Amino acid sequence: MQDSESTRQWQVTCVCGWRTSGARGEVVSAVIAHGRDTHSQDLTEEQAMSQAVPMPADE
Amino acid sequence: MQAIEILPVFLRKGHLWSLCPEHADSFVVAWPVGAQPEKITEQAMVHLGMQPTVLHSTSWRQAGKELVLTYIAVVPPSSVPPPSWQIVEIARSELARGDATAPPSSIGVAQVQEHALRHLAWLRKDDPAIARLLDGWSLVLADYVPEPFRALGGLAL
Repeated sequence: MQDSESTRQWQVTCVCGWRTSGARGEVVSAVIAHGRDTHSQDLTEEQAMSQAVPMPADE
Repeated sequence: MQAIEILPVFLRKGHLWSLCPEHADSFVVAWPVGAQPEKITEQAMVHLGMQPTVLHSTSWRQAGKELVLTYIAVVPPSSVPPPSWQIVEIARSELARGDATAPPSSIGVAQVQEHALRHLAWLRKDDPAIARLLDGWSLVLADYVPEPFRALGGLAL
């Protein structure tokens, strides 16, 4: 049975307005790719999650 | 899911200007369940490096799976947005209106902003505190028909 942490949904809004949401792994990957491709920044997982906001899972 | 949309605006040299993010039609942040929306909005503005003088919710709408609550944020003309943001002079827009049995097919940010400014005009007449803060705004808001907070995209009732 999955625990709540692994199913928790997260959302990030970048300063440039770009948004992403999903499970932790998805958000981290998307934020790191966005930082690299759009802002030429190499972000760590910690940095990627520092702006993440927990959201309720879709019903 | 719920989210907060923030529309920063300022007055400079007799004209209204909006601040727009580079990679979105508007700046939208997550609104966690149980969090006070005005605090989320203010924190987001501070994170962007801007301190609003007026912060007020103006409308809400359903956008896809999200419930979006819109805030207008009046900032000083000296505000410096993030480097990638654009400063755009505000133009008038027709409001999206549905008919008696169906909502409008789509609502653009320009229309949301139009309503937000109409609501600001309403607040300026209705709220003495906001009237004081927007002391120099009477001319630019003169042509905006004052409107209360409303749901955008609902049925015409």
